Amino acid sequence: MIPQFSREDLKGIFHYIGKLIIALGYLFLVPVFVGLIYKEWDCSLDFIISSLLSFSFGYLLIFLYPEESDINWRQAMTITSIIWLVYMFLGAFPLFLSGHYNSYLDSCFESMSALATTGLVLVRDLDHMAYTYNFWRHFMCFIGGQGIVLVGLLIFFKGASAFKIYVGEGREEKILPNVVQTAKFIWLVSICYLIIFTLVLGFINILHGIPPSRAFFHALCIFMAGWDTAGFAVQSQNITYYHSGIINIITALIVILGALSFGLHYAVWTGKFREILKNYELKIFLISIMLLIFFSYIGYIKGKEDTDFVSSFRIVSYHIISGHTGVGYTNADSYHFKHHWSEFSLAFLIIAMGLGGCSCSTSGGIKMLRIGLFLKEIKKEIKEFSSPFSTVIVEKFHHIRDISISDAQIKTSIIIVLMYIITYLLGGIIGSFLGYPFLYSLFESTSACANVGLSVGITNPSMPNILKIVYIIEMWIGRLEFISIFVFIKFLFSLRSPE
Amino acid sequence: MKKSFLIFLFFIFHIYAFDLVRIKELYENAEKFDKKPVIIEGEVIGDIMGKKDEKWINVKEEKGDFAIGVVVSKEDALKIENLGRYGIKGDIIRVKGIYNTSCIKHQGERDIHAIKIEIIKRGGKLPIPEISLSKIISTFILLGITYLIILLYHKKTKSLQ
Repeated sequence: MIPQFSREDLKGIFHYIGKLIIALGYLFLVPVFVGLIYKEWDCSLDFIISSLLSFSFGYLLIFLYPEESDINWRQAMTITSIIWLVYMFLGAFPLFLSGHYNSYLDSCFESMSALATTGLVLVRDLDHMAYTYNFWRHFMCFIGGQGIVLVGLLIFFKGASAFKIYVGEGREEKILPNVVQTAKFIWLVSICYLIIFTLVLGFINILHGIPPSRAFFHALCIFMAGWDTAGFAVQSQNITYYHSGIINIITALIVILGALSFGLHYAVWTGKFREILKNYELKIFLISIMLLIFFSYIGYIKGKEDTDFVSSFRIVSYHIISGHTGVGYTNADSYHFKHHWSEFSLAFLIIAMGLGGCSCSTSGGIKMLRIGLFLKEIKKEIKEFSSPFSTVIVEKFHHIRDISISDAQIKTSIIIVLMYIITYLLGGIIGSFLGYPFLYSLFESTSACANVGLSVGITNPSMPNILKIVYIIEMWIGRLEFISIFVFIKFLFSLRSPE
Repeated sequence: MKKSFLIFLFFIFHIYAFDLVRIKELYENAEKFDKKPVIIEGEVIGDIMGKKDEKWINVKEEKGDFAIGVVVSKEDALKIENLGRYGIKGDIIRVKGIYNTSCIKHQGERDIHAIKIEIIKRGGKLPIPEISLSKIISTFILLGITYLIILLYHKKTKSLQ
């Protein structure tokens, strides 16, 4: 039971929200530089206006609620839930001004999709979009994937408040003893990979014939959306645009790296290479990818007479990796799923999307660690059945360190796994009620809630507004992993009569 | 003799008849057009990519968001002068070629192997919005408001201290 919020709680919440909105004001200035480089003056002005709006709102809130105090868990969870919605509304503002969206709702959808690193899009005529707006779409993926509050952690928060806000955003692992150091490490890893892969992809693009000014822009955007498992692309055809096997391989590598736990990254960066062999979550992740590719591939080629095995394998494996890591990059198109994928193989792709990547990574979905815990619990139950009555069995696994599994961990994991499954199904049922075939609407709902971004074509500007709102909510709760949302609901009730 | 010649001509025509189809239709009715000759029309977008003698272009419907990759010869690629992107309308071309829903030569991609392309309409520069006066005025108003709020905030925090 979550206790009622007091007036003091509310003051703390609004104070920190104000600070995070100010942080967004600074982030809006980054695309201004892109606009200046590409001489898109009018577009740059849109971001200056957005930045000033954020500064006004942010400073107004901290003017009204100036007291800075340590926050409790409820406040941290509520701040996280609200700030994601605020960032969505404000982040959508320049997108709406771009004229590439039918309504503000559509730009909010795109904004949430980017921030939650989903990758479902409602943009029109993306191929003629200005560099500044296109950069902002991808930059939002980067901000959201790293974690909005992770940005704030580096600027504003200290001590215990920092850790609570960090957990509220769906991350539990403290890689380093101090959470601000953890945030710095996550940013350090991301920036290093950003430099390496932007250069690699940029030079490959040049070799493919793309002029340097566009080649590196594409490379930067592809990395930001790939590493943060968002799956946005610069062109409407997504990765298919490049018609390149090597780009397929490199993007697959980026998304797998993005879907690995930052804890594992830290171990490797500090020279503990054996962690790769010992890490339980990584083992489960790789086994799951291989099994799902195998079953999906069987379903894909079954009954096809003129199948080319290599082509089929390339397409199936790319989509399973894309779905499992939660990136949503595609080397085909939505009609390909309808015409070439059997229901059997689509079902395995849905499972891949639903499972998601590793914990404390940029990917969404249930997460491999929870699946691993679930499997360990099954193993423990079987052992207990076949052991003498008084035997106490303790299961352990290795994830950065040796961990003994507690009942509390199992309980939390099962609740979150169930919440994900219920949300996937609910979204599927709503889609089905609105007239879409159930399998397709389950596909789209899972893609939204697990923050994947693959689509069978339901997501488009002409889809019903109610479904757009449903998917926005799914993306939001899927990214924050439910607990923060429950606290947020309690907060809404508290607004009427705070204690 | 004459009759059999006409039948032969009809047969040849039937095999090599090129249908003008919308790119959207190539997606929606993929099986119907698979491995068949088609004609499409659309704007060349993005970049010209690929190896020395085989180039990739992407052609997008003028009205609609459907785009498809087209494999063209180096000579045909040279005909294209304008590539659609921000501020540029790409050349509108007509492509005659063979459509593949899952091309074996190109690792399962949906593509068209062009036999011939022709430029229907040259593209060119599109009007780019100039800095609007209303936006400049909004910026200055917001700047003033922001400055005022920051000032008030700092005064309040000083008085609280």
